[in-house]
Amino acid sequence: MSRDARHLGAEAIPVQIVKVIVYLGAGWLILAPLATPVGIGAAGVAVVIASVLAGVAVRKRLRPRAALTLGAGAFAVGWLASSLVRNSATLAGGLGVEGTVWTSDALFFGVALLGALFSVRYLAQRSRLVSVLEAAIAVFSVVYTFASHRYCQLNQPRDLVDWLLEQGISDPQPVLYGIGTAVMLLAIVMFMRRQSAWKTLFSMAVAIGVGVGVYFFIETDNLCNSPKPPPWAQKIGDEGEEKSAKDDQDGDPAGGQDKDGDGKPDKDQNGGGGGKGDKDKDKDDKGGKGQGGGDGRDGPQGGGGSGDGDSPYGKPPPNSPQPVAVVAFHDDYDAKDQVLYFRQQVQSRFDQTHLSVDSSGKYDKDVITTYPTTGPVTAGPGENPDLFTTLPTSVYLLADHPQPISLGQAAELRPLDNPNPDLFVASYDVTSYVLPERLDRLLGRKSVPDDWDEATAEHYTEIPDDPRYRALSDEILRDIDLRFYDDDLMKALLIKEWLEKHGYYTLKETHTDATDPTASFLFGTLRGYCVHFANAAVFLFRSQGIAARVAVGYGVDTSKRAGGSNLLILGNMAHAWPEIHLEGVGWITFDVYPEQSDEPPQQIVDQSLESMLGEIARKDPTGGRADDPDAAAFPFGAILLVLGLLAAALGVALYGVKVFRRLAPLLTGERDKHRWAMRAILDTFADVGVVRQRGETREAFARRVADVTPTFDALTMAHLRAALGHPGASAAPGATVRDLYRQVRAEYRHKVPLYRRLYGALNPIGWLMVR
Amino acid sequence: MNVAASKRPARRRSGGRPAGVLRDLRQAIAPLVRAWSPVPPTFLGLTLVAVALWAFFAIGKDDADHVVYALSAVALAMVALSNVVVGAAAFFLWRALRARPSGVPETLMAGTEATTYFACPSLRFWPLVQVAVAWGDPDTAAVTLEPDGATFIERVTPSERGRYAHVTRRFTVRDIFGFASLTFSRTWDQPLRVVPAVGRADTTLAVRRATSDGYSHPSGQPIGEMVEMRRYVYGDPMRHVIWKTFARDRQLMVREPERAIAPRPAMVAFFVAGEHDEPSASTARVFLEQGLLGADFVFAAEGAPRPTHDRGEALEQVIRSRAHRDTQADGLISLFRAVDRARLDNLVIFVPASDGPWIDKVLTASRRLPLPPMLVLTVDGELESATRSRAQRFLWEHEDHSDPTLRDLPAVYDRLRAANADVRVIHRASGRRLEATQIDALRAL
Repeated sequence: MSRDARHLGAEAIPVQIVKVIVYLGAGWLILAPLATPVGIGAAGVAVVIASVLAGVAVRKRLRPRAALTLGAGAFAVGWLASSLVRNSATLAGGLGVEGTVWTSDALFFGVALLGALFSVRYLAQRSRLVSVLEAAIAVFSVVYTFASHRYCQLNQPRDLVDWLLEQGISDPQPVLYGIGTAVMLLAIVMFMRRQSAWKTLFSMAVAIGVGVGVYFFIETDNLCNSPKPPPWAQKIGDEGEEKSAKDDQDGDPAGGQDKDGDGKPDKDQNGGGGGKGDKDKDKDDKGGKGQGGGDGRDGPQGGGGSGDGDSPYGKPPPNSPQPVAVVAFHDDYDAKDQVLYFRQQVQSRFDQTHLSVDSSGKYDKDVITTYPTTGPVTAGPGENPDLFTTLPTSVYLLADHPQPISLGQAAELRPLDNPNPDLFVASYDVTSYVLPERLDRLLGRKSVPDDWDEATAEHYTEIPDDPRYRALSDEILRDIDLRFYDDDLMKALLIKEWLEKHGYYTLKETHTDATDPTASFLFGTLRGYCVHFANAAVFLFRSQGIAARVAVGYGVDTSKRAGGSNLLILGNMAHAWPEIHLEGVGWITFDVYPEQSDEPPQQIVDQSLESMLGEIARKDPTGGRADDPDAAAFPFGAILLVLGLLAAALGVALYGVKVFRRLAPLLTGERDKHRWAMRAILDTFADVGVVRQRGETREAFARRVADVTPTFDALTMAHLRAALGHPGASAAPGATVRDLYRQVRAEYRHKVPLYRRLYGALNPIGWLMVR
Repeated sequence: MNVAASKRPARRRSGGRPAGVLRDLRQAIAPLVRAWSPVPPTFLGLTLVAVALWAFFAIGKDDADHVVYALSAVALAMVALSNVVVGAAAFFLWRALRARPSGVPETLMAGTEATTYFACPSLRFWPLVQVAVAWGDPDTAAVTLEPDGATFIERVTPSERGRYAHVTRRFTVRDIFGFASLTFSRTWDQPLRVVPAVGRADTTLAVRRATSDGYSHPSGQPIGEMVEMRRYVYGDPMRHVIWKTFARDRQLMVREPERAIAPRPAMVAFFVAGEHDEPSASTARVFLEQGLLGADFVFAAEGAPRPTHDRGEALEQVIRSRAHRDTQADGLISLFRAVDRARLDNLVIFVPASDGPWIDKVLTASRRLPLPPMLVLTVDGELESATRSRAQRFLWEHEDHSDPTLRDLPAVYDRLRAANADVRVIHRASGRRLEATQIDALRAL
């Protein structure tokens, strides 16, 4: 390259090649989802041509205004031609639909993009500012492409994650970190100033070292910000599960019940049953706020989740709930109400103003609150097995829960090997009772059995000392059909119907300032969320002598599910609902569905994530992504072997040429000896980095290295005499080329330190630098 | 080949003049840039740090974007490493330079590249680091560095003449990405003399033509019998061609006045310093060194305390006149007072080919003379610029299209010719004397 070109900022060829590769990559990332294969191919060709043309333009000193004009002209021609092809009925008729699209794409991406890229590449070589813009384009293309994984949506982008799963890599975080590191290193290369090849390689090695160091430094960083490491990112050992179990055994299964009896949850504990959160701003938590009649603000997720009110994945994005559990069904099951209730705990003890978890151990024995760590955990008596059907499921928790969650009324929990400790914090099998009968088939039963002692009946029917509850329930039941005058289920149905008709579901009304939030809701605006409805219903039921309690957990709307045997539970599905007891039946779910609501319907679960997690739970290492689970993984080893062989072959070839050139003076005849001797000496110098500069004559070079080998001048002259004159010309008076060659080599060995000679001997590409 | 070049930002850019707004902006922020130069972080580095910090926290951490988190962390690490390495390398270089001699020859020639003996460490084993050297005094020298082992070979090309009491170099240590740059200066107390450049060999010819070979009166009237002859040169009148000689041996010869009779003019010469006067200084040097002013010449340059008859002193006056560009021909009146009025018939004034107050001053002074003085303008740059088509000028930059002397010549020439001045224009690069038609062609530039 001429000095003028350097002054103009023309980039070195390697940098241009790197930039072309970066442009190709960025173009592919951006265009892959947008353009046809023809368009992508045309864009790739345009990138190469534009880069070459821009390099030529800079060297030929094309004016910037001319470059911009030419680029803009090409862009306009390509764009107009593409539009013409697309909008012309005649052309479209001749080319056909596919041909029209391809031609249009080829014109736009092949010509218009060529013009734009030519201008940008040209300006980037003239102005460092534009070079920075190039780097920004490259970075943006990658960030944009992988942005879907934000907020810990680590099942995105699908193409990457699917491929990783096929390779058996279930945690994409390190890969994403690696992508970011590599992209920045590539972008930094685009900033690089022109310099020697040695400094470029040396500096890039250092830069790569920095990148690798940063990568390993941040590799373990947990961006999901969970108090416990997120299941995606870090292994969770038995410690977490043991802790959960210990909490349960300590008699605080709710993990946050109001112990001080002030009617509000303790700040450091759950206001409700099951969650731990205290951030009312998190919509994920709203499903179960104010559980237990607390003020609502400190209410956690209604029944699930863990971690101080945050999503189990730490920072959830707006309107982007996080997965908390996967449930694998072993039998088909269709919920009657299209809602599956996963109960975690129940609140039956009345604490002056609200319900809380009973920690006495006397009641709610039908609810399993401990994990099956060593063996099966069986529920106490509660349901009549004859009226329920059993449904086996497996639960894989993605986030810590103080108590296990289970579908319907869990009869038994059994330990289950965790199929992926990196992913799941706990797993267990559940045998659940689900009620196949419609509720109206259960009419005619009492709620409080006769065999209950007085304390038990009192426990499940105690309500606030507020006559308005009874008055309201009486008012609701005033018009009850006389045939069901004494039927508790009918009373409960009427109360439920009244609440559904008159209540208004909203997350905006929290009733946090009221002493009795339930009363504030029920006798006030009747606007509230599930916790208010559940508590209000329970108090109204109890006011009529119906045994009732509040269940806390997750309610999953199955109406929009695509099916499948796996079910993904998200954090925002946390829910609280009433349960009533019927003699001879047991506890049944008795949820209230308000007819009026200002909340959007439940978010549709990402089917791909649901399927993937389910398959992982079922010990498919590819997460169900591999078409053939037995298919061989990507042949990394073979590729590395081929690359290694190629590198070895290249090394052998380079060293072979080097050795041949070095031995040639000894093997050739006198006629060509001067040429090979000269080459061998020049190779020797090039190996240690001393090469003839552009414009430097052979004689000048010989004088330059005269300090090292004074005889080289004589050898050079002998070579020139032979090369430019007669091949048989004498080398020098009284000396042959062989003598001069040996003398030069001896001088070289004498002057050049051993380490440099060793370096030169190991250098396989020195002879490529010879001029 | 690794060549780190430090160039004058505006005047020496071969890529063309910076746009007006850009130039003004550069000038406006120049003090800030100078004040910031001892601090490693560059504007790019600081900007990248700001963007990376924002991306790291706002996108990487808050939005849990792993890619952005990693790339911004790498960016921050690279900027930090660059600044640390640049700072350490600059300190190493500063210590290494303390005991090194300047290696600058006592005399350099403007426009001519010279190799100094200054051994600047190349820091080749320092990663990420580049070293650039610029001269702060004289500040018009372009420096190129060529690595030679552990040091650089320094080649310097002063663009203007001058005399300096010391040499100051500015060393810039920067990283290859542009995130950090640190500049410091080192001064060597060593006198330096930069003499005007010498034009090409055929400049002599042009000069001889400009002065009618030293035989005729500059006004053009030959004195004496036309008995001598010499080879024809371009511009000789056809009537002086000896056709008999041409018919005999095909040699074009012309007659010229007899040497013995032609009065050898003892010229009085004055050098007007001004903007872009370096080509003119070259011509003045050629006049002095070639003896074209005659043996008994009187010479004065701008700012000189008195005229001189000595060639060496005259050249020294030309060199020192660079410091008096602002006075612009004020010394001409002093010369008139110091020299016998009769000798002012042979007055030659070397003037810069750029517009300035000197034009009015010279023309006013010329009116006081019995014969108009000969004004010698010297221009630089490539004349082919004028022959390029409109499309070529639109498409391609030209090496010397920005040369100010060529660009300004038509206007200066017109003003002088309008005052009936005797103007001779010499092109330094080719040594040719430019005729009116060639000057007209320059108007298209």
